Amino acid sequence: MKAITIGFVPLVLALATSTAHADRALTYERLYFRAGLLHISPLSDSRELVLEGVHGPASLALMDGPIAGSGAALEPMTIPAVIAGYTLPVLHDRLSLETVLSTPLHVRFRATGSLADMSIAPEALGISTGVPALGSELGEADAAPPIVTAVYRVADLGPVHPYGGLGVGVLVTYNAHATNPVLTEVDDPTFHIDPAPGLVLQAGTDVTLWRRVSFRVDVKYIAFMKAHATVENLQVRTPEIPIFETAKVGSATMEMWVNPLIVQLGLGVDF
Amino acid sequence: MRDRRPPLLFACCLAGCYSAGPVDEPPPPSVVFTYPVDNQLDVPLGARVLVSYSDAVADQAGCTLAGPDGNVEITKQVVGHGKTVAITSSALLPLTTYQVTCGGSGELAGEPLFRFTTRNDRPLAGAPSLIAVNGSALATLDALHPGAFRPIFESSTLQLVFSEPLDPRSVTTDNGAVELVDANGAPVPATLLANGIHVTLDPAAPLAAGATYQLRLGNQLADVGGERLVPTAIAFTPLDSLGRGPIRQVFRTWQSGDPVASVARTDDMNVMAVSHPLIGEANAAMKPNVLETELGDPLALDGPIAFRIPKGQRLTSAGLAIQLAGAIPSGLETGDIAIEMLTDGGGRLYRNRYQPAGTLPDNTTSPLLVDLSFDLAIYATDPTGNAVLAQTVLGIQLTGLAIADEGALAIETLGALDINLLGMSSAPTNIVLDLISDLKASPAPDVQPPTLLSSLPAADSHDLITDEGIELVFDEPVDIDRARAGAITLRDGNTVVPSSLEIHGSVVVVRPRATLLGNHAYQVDLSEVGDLAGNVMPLQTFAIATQLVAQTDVPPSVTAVYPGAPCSLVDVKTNTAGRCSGGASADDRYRPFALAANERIAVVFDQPLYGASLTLGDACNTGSIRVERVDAMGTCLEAVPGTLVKHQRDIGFIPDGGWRPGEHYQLRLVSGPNATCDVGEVCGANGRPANFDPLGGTTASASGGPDLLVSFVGTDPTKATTLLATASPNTDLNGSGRMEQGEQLREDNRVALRIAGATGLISSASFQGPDCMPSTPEVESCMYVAGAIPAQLGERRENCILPGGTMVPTCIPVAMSAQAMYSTSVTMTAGALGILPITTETGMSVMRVRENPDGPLEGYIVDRNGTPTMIAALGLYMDAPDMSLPIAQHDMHSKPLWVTLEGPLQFKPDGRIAISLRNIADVPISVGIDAPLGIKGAVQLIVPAGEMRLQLMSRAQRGSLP
Repeated sequence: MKAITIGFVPLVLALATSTAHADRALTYERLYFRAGLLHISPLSDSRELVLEGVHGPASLALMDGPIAGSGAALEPMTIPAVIAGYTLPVLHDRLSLETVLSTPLHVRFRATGSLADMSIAPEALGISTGVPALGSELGEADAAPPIVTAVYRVADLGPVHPYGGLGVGVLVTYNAHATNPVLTEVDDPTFHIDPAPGLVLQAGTDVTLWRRVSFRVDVKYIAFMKAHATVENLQVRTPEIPIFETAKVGSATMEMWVNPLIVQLGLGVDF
Repeated sequence: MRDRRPPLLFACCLAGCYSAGPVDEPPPPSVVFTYPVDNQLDVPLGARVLVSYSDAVADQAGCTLAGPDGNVEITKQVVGHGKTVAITSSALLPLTTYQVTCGGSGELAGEPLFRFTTRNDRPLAGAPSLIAVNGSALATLDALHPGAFRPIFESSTLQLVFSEPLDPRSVTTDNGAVELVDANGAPVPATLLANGIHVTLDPAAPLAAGATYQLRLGNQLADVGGERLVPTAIAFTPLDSLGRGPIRQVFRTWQSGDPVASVARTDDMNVMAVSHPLIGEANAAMKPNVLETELGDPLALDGPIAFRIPKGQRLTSAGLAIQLAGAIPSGLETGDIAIEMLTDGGGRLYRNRYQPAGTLPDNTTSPLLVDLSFDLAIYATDPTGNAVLAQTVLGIQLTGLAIADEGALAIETLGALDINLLGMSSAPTNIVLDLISDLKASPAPDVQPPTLLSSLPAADSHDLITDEGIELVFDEPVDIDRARAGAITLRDGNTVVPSSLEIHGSVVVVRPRATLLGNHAYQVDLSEVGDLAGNVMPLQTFAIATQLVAQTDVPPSVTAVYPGAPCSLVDVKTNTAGRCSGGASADDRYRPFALAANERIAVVFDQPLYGASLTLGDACNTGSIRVERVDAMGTCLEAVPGTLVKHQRDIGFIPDGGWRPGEHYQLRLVSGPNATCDVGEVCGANGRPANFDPLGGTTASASGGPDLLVSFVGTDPTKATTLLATASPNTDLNGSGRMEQGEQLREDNRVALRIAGATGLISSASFQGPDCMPSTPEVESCMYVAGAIPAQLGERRENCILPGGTMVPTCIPVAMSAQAMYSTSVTMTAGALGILPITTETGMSVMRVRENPDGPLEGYIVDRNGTPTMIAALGLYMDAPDMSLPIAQHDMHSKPLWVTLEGPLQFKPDGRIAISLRNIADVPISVGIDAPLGIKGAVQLIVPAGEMRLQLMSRAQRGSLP
């Protein structure tokens, strides 16, 4: 159900447009689908993790502000996906609206830099806390990245139909939760990611294989997509300072340029 | 794992299960900290009891303080931003367990919150006993679980508390005294300190964790009454608190603007508050200081973290502005007051004991608690203030809380200690010490070697009392281990005199272990004396000699008996205590004597005593010194259990538990029927039984005679401070009433007599002997005075009418006990009819102070332009019992005199208090002579204004035996 939901709105819009257009010059070639595999490779670049509300014993080891050298990234993923498009009856039928339908996106956040490799609170008052490095695993979330692009077929080189596109995408996440064993050992911190809009640049080509059957190579790059994530109720165990046992770290925020590069291969038909 | 509570809550609400009560009502304030902590021992009587809550309490939380006889009268105050209830009481009794109950709900309602046991620092009858080691009652110590109250770590200093004060001469590391040995029986090097009921043993190096040690206390340890400890051995095994090693940590005193101000639980941070009727309230605020500490391994104790404050570190505070009774400037400048860790202090951080087990630390409801104990040297930067204030305070126990927040660990510890106040009393002092972690801070290095400021007796003097110690007043505490190793020695020629070295703040007392030779020269050598930072002072040496107490066959007499009068009494009636035997029948009668429950009996003699003759009776009618509880008819009911304290010239008796108000008691000092000192008689060091009726004569033939018997009634405790001041320095050290060769003339205590004329058939008069005031055109002869006056400094009084009728807005009344002063003989020649010279010696004169018929005999301390000044109008009876005129009679018997004395109260560079009184007007004395053949007349004498000099001095604070 969630996968369907991802591209539902733009698809409805597209279908509505298609229906309106069909009233005037309905053609079965205006609607097309390309089913295949989609690989998302986030070209993420994060700012340093910023701590807020550090108080109590944790303040002996940490302070509000960025953790030097820390960062986060999204893991790449490959999922089955379908591109659904509708060719608008304008510009000599070279302009289309497209969206992507996919199985659920399960986004995994990775810690990078010092956040992964070093303890965030190695010492308190010169005493080793025993708080380990977080490691790379940070958290995960389900995501719905609705994308709508306008695609212009630039040429028809026989069976090859290269195109370029431009559109918008939004990274919407839900069921976000921390999965880092250090952060979840004491309690479950709340993990929240604000919706992150971005500008989609698209390029690719359709290759007609047989009649209405085509093969597509599609590349998208979503620019300016900045995810703002907040982790609250952070608590860590302090095994080498058992008098405290745990320390409440407060909350952490990070801003991450996701900027995913999406490569999709698909086989489909035009209707 | 996801937070699904909102939907569930929503569903619950739909189902109608939502509570009708407010869901966000904050929990009631809960107790997070108390002082003392549960089961704390040795809590000073003047301690402020604190119960601190997680949040402000609306009222005084319904706290009560109960002792064995029920609730105790207390005063409560809410302090610390409403979070703390401070409880004070003047009704606490020593060595008594109290419990504090505060209102609460649930399981705690009505249950005691904590219990504590008060300190006893008064001597007790019977042998002393060890009652606590590091805060743990002796009964709970065993080898497996050392320190039930306060764990003993490998880095711990051993702090012992005894049931009563110990004789400092007995506290040594010698065999049979205090020994710390390892499992093989080998002695463990350690620094030994002692003061009153406290003994501290600070191992030179950390002990081995897990190894067994034994603390042996032998029968060489004795109390101030000479009773010896029953040997005790305590085995213990230090816990490992260091684990992987100590962790350096730096704290500094919390200053305004620093983070974590919420650590404060009282109204003032970093303050020492001294409270005593003698000085009122005096506060000293801590200055910025840095302390380096070592934290133990947090894993070693599976939770609690031990810490150590290495010795030698210092805190400073602003000086104390001491005003007598809080109103009269004392004239004493302390300058900054310094506190030095004499031993390694330490303690531990641990989880809040007032929350259920397993509760994680929380700065509001379950802050970490702190236990801190240490031993201090207190001293001052002003030389005189230093000499007055310098002291060692051992066994200090502070408790508090620790809050980690805002990047720092803030610690507030609170507690109480007893400070020796001007050598006269013990003042409860509540201390609040607030520290905050600061790794960037570093203590100022100490690069100055100690300097010797003064000594008591002074260098090159001839004043050392043979059974007292020498006080060496330095400007900072010295390394006592180095001093004991030979840096400070007392020598007799080339022979080192075996001595114990005690440290009292910045003062070292060299206390010979055996009585010194009289009139003998000694030498004090200071070589390689250093402080704990290793700064060494240059070699210094000075000479000192013991007093000359010339041989005499004159028996000892009493100069002061408190309570009582300095004589055997006659004409004792129900409503009067009688008059002195040998005085005129018309003499004033003494009013019935009384003694407050918290005071001691004191008797001062005019010459050294024979110690072995001073035996305290342990049953009715036994001993040479008998303190008995009697019925209204004077029949002995029992010997009062207590402690007899013996000094060279005085004795004291401290009853166990104090005098019972309303009960009748008797003090009897037994003399003898003849001039021989027999068993059961109080005798002088010269072998003469005491003479308690000096008005009948003071010469050798007067030895023995009636006993001194004083009846008195116990009364309620007093807040007044009793000062047993003696006329010092004293010329007539042997009490012979005459000047012997070698005796030093002491101008501070003498009466100059000038012949003003003659009347009747006495035509002329002159003194034989030297003119003691050569600066005047007249010839004066001086009588040198010995005496003592027990004086009670009371609480401040407004609108005081002074002798002479003037009124001052504020004064301190000084209730003086009517005692006696003895003065040396002068020789006078009177010419009768111009041809018949009558030459006589007055012999020892006795000046008895008369009681005030209308009330207590009072002097007053007033402010004279910033100088505390005492004024007293005294009525005297003057007697010359041994004066004999050839074929004539004189009238020097119970001759009344009136004199008004005035003089400043000053603090001497050696720390003693001196009240230097002089008569403000000429005092006329008429000596009537009645010779045969109707030759009558009188020699008119005067004591010129200012020439009756009486300097009353307190005892050496530290060199004197307790």
